[in-house]
Amino acid sequence: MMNMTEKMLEQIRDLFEKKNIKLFIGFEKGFEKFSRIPAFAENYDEAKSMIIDEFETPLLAKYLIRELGEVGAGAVEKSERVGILTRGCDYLSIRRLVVDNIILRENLVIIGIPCNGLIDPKKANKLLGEEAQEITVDEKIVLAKGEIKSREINKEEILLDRCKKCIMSKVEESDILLEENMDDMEVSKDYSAVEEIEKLTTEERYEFWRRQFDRCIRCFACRDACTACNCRKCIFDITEPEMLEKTVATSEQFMFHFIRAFHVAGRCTACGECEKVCPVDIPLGLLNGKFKKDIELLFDVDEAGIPAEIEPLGEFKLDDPVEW
Amino acid sequence: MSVEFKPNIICFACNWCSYTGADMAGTSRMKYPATIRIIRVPCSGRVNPTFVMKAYQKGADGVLIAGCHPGDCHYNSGNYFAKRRFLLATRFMTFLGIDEKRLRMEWISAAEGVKFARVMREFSETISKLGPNLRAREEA
Repeated sequence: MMNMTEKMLEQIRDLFEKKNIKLFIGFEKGFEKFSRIPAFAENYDEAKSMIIDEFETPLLAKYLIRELGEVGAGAVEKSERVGILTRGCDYLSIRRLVVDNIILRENLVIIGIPCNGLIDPKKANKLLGEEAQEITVDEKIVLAKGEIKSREINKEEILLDRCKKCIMSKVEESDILLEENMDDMEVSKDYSAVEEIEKLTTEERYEFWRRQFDRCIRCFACRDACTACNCRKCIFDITEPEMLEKTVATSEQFMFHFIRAFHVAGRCTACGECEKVCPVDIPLGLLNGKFKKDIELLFDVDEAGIPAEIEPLGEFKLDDPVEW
Repeated sequence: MSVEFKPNIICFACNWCSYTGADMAGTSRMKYPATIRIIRVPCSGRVNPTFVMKAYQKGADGVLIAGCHPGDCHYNSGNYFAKRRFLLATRFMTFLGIDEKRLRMEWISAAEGVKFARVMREFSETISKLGPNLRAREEA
């Protein structure tokens, strides 16, 4: 993976030298071991700390709204460009923003990197039985070393949950592709978790969700992390009419999660970022997954996670299912 | 002391067909239960599924959405959009554990006063059998 980082730095230097970009967004090492955080560079020197490896990374696309989001209003020059490091899941989110007319594709320089799934260090720690001090990845075998033990782990076992449900491992439309994907990750549709809840009785389902939602502290992290949540004025911030009241009550929690899930229905790219940022671990992916599953089932859509020009709820067909 | 349960039912009726249909039922002196409160909306496409959740929250036991028959929409396509939206929303509410029988959608034209009265009677009966809705409801 090291040479990939070098390749990227070379490309970044190239881009900055030719004055092609004003900003580059990538990843660098975080404060915790194996954590990766977003990094912003306005020149090549600042970009030197950037790194590409196989640990869990945050989604970068949302930052593009801040950097390029005012194109429509004329605040961003058409020639101003931002470079961004992109994996398949990031690419879907970027496409979401482009399709939604939040940013323009011309303002972007997409550097595509191959992805065969990212590693969750927490899972490695669990398997190792102690905190790993060193994790090295070699193709499909991961070697985790702790202070006492060391262990070889199959990469499949410690993949991120969202990577197991990956729907796009390649970056189509990239401007610069660092490397081709060696072997395509299997693209799989896995709705087993959603189906499990569907099997419960109505009462059990309500109890399940009540227990989940009652933990919610309404920090809105799920909204803030989501690229599909890109409204300029969010309904939760509007007090007139007050669709979501500030009371702490089960009914309000249901309101909040219903509205949030419905507003990204048919627009969610299944990146799993909402679930990841939730401080109380509410399974938001289940809510989004339910909509995704139903849309594919009812409206004859192949893959609802890939942003289309017209979203499923923005169109209709005369032969939609009839229930009433 | 037992008091007979009288449901609270909210009906979102589209201005052009169903609301006029309700008018028709009224002028024809047809009887239907007084448990239903009609809210007039410009089109069934105006009804946001959030309205339904809000109704449940504020104490509705059942919600009925009535619009023009497919192809008859005053705005050409509003009811088709509504249909798509509620195909998803009903399933999602069921997924959250709210009984699917509490939400109903009907196409009622301006001439169908008889149908309006019949649907209201049927729906009121279903909800009476189901009892009060306590899920996702404001603790009052």
